[in-house]
Amino acid sequence: MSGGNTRFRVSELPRSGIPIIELQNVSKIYPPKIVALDNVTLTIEKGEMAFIMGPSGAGKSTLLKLLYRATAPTQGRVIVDGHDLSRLRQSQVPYLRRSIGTVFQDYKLLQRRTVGENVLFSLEVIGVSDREARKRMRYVLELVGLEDKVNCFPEELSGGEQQRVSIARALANNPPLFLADEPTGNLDWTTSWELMMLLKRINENGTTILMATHNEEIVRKFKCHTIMLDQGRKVGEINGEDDQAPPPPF
Amino acid sequence: MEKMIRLRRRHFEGVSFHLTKKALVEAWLNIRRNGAFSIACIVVAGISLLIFGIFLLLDGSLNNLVHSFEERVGISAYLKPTVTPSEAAWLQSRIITWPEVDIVKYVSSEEAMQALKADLAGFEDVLATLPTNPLPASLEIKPKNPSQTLSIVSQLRNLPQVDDVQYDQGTVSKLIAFANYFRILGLIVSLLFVFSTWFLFSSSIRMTVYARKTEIEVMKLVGATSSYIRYPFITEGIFYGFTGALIACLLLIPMQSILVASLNRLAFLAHIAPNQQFLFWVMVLLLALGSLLGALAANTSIRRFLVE
Repeated sequence: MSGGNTRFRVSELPRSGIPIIELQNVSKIYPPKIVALDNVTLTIEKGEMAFIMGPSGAGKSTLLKLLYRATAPTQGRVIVDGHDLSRLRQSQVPYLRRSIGTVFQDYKLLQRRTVGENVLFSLEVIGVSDREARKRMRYVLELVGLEDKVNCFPEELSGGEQQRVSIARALANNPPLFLADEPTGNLDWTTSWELMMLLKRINENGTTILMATHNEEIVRKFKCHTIMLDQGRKVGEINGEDDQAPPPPF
Repeated sequence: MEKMIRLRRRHFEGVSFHLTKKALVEAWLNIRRNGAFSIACIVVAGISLLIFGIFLLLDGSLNNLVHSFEERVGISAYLKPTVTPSEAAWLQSRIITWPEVDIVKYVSSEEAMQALKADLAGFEDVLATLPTNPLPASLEIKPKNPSQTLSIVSQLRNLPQVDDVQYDQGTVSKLIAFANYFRILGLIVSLLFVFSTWFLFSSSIRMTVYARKTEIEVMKLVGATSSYIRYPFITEGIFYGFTGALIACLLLIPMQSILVASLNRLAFLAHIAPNQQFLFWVMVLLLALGSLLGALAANTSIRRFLVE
């Protein structure tokens, strides 16, 4: 996790039995009276790849925001790796976020910086030395298969490639937890599928992944632990199949 | 099992040389990107601080003037002719114990006559025609604070040994009133300029913040500390304020010379011009005020983006 180690941890077994995310009776009400989450309880274990599924407005994004502390619950407890986030001081939030990789539908890339600089920037601002940052940048870009696009600007890349840059950026600090908010939302089916295989590979390296999506197709093919939300309420939960084979491409 | 997520810093990330350098480089880029707006910030800060500086210099002069008048304020209590010098001495020792009184001086009628002769130098002959010395002995009293003059006067009037009391309160109280008005007016004008400076600083820094919105968003997302995000903007604010103050200081030096020269032309006002030391402290104050203004304006502009 620290120092010169750019290697990812060898996989812990999926369904390790140790919770990394716990929501206990969590409600989130945005003023004046918009209920984004209503009494949601769930547990994600270390090493899992899990989905939060539901139509738009179901509360998926709000749930993820609670986890990287972009917002706080109105009620209930949010626990990430044993840390009760409601007791987190504002000054601790950056350190939580360094351990959580996040990607979004709109990538959030800096358009005036190259692919390499985008990744370097995210390491630089958390105080990683230049040499170490360069090493990690090359490693994660190789991992997402963009090592030859280091000097391209985001606008020169396709949507799928841009999303892979944002994944590389999120992975650069080797986070144990990876959150993805509709990462395939802007991508066609083939590209989405490639992206999902990339996420799968990252998960197999030991990173816990929680992904919000409204794409039922993906969820059905992957047969992972899935939590279904609708209008802020948990309306179903499917436990993933243990020791699953990689799903067929189409 | 050991936690994977640690909520502590793993290495020193405080105000290091590295971060300071980074903040300076970033701030400089922002300032250059803002172009004409940056120059406007510095100019307005310069004008505002210069006006405040001039006000402080004039206020300093006025203060000196008031003090020099206060030095001269005195109450004359003329004693009845029947009061003997020893009685007067006793009275003097009593009045000096009054809390408002600073100095009491006994002037005998002979001394008063000497003083009058000195004043009428060349016309002493007029006085020689007088059969007796008509001038009464008096006690010259200086209050600790000119505002207490009236209270001393009314106490003196109650003394049986005192015939008449004369005092010169008018000039000083008028001068003090004028100084107070001037001070209030000066502060209001300075405050207006400070507000416009604040407004311009905030606008300029908010422009920078908007231009870097995505960057700030990403920084927050990947876990940059809020001070790391803040430093470049605060540095930018301090740069505007300090540079503006520097310009104000450079312009203030000739202003001070002009002020001293014009006061020196009126001999009796020569001593009221503020000295070099006063000017030095005004300049220090302007530099500190400019930097502080810049830092605070930047901090308030960026804070909205940092807390959710």
